[in-house]
Amino acid sequence: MLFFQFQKPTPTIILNLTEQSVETLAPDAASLKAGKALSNAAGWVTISYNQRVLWGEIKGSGSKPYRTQIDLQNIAFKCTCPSFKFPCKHGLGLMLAFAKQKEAFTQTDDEPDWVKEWIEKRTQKAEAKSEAPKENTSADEEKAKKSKEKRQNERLSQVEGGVAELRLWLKDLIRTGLIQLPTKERRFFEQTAARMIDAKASGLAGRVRTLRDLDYIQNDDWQRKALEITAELFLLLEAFKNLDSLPPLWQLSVKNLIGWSQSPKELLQNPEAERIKDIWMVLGQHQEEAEGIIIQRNWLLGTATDRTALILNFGTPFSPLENTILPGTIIEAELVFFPAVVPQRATLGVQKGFVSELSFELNFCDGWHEVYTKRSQLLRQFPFINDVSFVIENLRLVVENQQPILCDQEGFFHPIVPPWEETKLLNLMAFSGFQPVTMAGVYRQNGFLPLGIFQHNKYILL
Amino acid sequence: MWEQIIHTALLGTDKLSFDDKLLPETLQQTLGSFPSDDKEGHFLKMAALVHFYQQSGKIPPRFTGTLPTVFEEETHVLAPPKLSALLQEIIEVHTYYRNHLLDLWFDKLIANEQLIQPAQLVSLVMLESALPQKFRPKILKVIGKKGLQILAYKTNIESWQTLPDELVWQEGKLSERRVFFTNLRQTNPQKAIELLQTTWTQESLGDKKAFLEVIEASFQPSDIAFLEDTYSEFQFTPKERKGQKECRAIIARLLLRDSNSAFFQQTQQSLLPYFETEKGKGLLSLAFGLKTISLKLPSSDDAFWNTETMLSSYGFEAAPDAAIFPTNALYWLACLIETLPFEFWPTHLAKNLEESLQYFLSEPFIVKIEKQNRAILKTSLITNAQKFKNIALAEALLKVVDFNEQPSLLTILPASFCENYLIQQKQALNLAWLEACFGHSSTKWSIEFSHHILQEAFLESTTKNKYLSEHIGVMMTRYLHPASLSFLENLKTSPTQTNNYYYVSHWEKWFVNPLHRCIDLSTRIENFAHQD
Repeated sequence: MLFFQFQKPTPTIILNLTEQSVETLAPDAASLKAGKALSNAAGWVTISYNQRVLWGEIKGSGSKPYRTQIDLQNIAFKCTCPSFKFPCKHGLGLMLAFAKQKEAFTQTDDEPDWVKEWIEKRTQKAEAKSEAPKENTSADEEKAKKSKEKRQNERLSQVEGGVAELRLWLKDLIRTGLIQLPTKERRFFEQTAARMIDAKASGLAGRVRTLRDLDYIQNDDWQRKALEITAELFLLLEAFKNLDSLPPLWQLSVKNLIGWSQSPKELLQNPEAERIKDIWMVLGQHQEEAEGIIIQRNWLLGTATDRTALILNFGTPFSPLENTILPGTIIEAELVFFPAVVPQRATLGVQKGFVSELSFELNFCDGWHEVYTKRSQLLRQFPFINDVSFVIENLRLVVENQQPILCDQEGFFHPIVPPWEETKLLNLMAFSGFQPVTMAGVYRQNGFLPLGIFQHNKYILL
Repeated sequence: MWEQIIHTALLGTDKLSFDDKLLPETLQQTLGSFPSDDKEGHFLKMAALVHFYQQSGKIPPRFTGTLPTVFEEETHVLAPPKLSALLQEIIEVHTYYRNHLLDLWFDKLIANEQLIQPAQLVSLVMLESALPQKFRPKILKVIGKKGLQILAYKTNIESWQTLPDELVWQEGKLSERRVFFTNLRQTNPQKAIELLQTTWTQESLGDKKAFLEVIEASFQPSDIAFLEDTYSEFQFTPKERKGQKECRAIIARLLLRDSNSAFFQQTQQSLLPYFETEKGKGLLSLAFGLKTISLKLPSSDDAFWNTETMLSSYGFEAAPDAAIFPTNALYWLACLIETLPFEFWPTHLAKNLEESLQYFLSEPFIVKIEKQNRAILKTSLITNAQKFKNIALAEALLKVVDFNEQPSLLTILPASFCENYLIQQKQALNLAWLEACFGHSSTKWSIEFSHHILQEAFLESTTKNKYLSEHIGVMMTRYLHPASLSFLENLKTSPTQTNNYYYVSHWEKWFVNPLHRCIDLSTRIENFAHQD
């Protein structure tokens, strides 16, 4: 569990790491286990830290000890060991040792040269990243512009082809009736999804796959869900058909849903992008794998602006996630938001470091009625909105026929998103003791995904 | 409306159509402003519109069930977070070492009357299924009422439920009653006997035997009255049940343990005629007229040494193996040697303990089996030493028994004796011997023995290139003197005389690292005082 006070501001304390938050950085279970074995401060030859960096030396199988360093401002690891895992067991071990036995570390601003060198490089790199791109000559610019336009037009025509095909597929489906869906083989959906991937419309492929993944055997609710998915998808295709007539932000949002990706690098270099400086609470993290891609979602809440944000990280089995956000921590940072009708997705801009104690007032929802109302307002702005994070007061966990639900004080309830990890459910039981608690989580169409609870001036990550 | 739309979608627009007039007027108007090319497109647009319309106006459902109980008051206060959090570190220790540390941790919390913190509750509940059942009562004591609610969600808690003490004796299963009776025998043996007497007549033969076994394992002289009363209940009858004879045998064994019992006296009287005084055969004996006393057993049944008496009085059967016991009398003597306090024999043989021992280990109690002389009473003498915890006898026997028979004697000898004996016999790394010496105890080894065993283990692993059993490492984590860790450190840093990486890494993996970890953890657990 992660604990921090949120009443008294004490900016001198830079970091309050806990083992649980560090564990989220582990690339796999084996690395975590190995890291834990190295988490005893006594096993390190040297261990030191300051506001910016944490470093240590540990004896390995080589003749010289391995040098491990961690950038605490923008979480990053470096180690001289030959491991290809990232972070390696030494990085995890050092950070776990810091979380457990901070008193065993020497606090010093006198960094050794090998640490200074790395930090300087990182600072330079970060500065270069946020700077505007180098100015090209007008001829180069013209050439690049033409080439970009050509690529965009090619892609647009590819997507249009895919969209036309999918419209036909959906119409056929509805003409012959959804009743046939349970008898369809996986291939029926997969072929269409693959065609959408070929047409560079991965967002549409994902929606076709949600239709494939419905539980057609155990649950009759598939009938309602199948119609909802089909109708929503058709509406999205209609929106794309009328793309030119939509306002620019709508065009962007619709294209994102279809499958156009957004580059955080380009966003950071865009001077017009919306930037919000705040002290952000990382309410929670959720990771899932779909079609070989690992998607990590981090939900943040601005403590001064009351703004919510979603930071996505992507990885594959061959290129692990670049994990720079620790759930349950508070960071002072500038977030840069991707332009959208309802801007939610953001990327981390300038990060100043961690805050361990903080005083702030959050605008909590007082029950499900308010959550539903707020969501309706968002739907009015953009009907395709799905995940929205909320902090709700006085929610009580109830388990009815093995299905966990959350009841508010007015007697309204909302189910917890299935399937929810059993350990998280048990954690919620243990910390709440079935009493009403203030809970942060994500509202989804099929249920609420709890992320953490506020209790006795602490935020406890579930 | 939505149900009808779903119905249409399921059957398909080819078979069924949906009448837009069923929609609210505002939706009809909106739909009208977005014309479609075909009926499928029109239907899908309409379905999307209705879906979002419903989503926007959705209100949360109301809960009509029963809210769970909230326990405002707990059974005890919460343990200090650092003590509670030690669980996480214990879980990460290899399972070989874990249960001992868990025992220490649970016992500390229970002694402090504290509950674990919520942060560890889930870890404990998840760990529970991997733990032996003996931990269940301890788990229940440290999780409190809230913890019990969680446990009930995770596991079938009903199978954990034990009857309250006041009901166990009346309504419990034999296994529960046996545990209850054993525990009561440890705290109040007399009360246990009184309780047993209240239900004795209703007990089955099997249950009676079970409780007599508990009494035998925790015998007290105050049990004699009860045993004398019940002995007659199991008197010999032709075609008696096996349990009948077994109960009689247990009671006879117990009565013979006390020299004040009538049964002992009666047995003593019966045996006296068989102690015969003879003139010594040696030169000195002839010169000084010295006499010796020996036991003369009949070669065939007589008034005492006969099948009927032995079976009806003592529950002894006839000799099972004629090769070992040439006569029944010899076998029954072996049974009596196991059963009577050993002091009986020196008294009547007019010998000291060593002489008596020597007497029983020599002719005429030697037989030749497969060309080897075998002292047929030796096993009975070892059993007697164990049963009566006769340290003098055990020490004397150690000098004469075979190597393999020594561990059974070491079990009753004091730890200090065992430590010296293991060093002297160069058996400090013999797992069977270590377990025999210390397995039943919770006392730590002396610093000297701790250093010795560490030194031996280090040399064995790194110099002689031998894989030591990791179970020796497990024993070390339990018994090593905490102050010997610095000695281990020095061993670790001293230059090893082997280049074999595997032996050194085995030593590190199974000895150095767990020893550090476990001794550190057990010291931290023990250092948590009640007020911490």
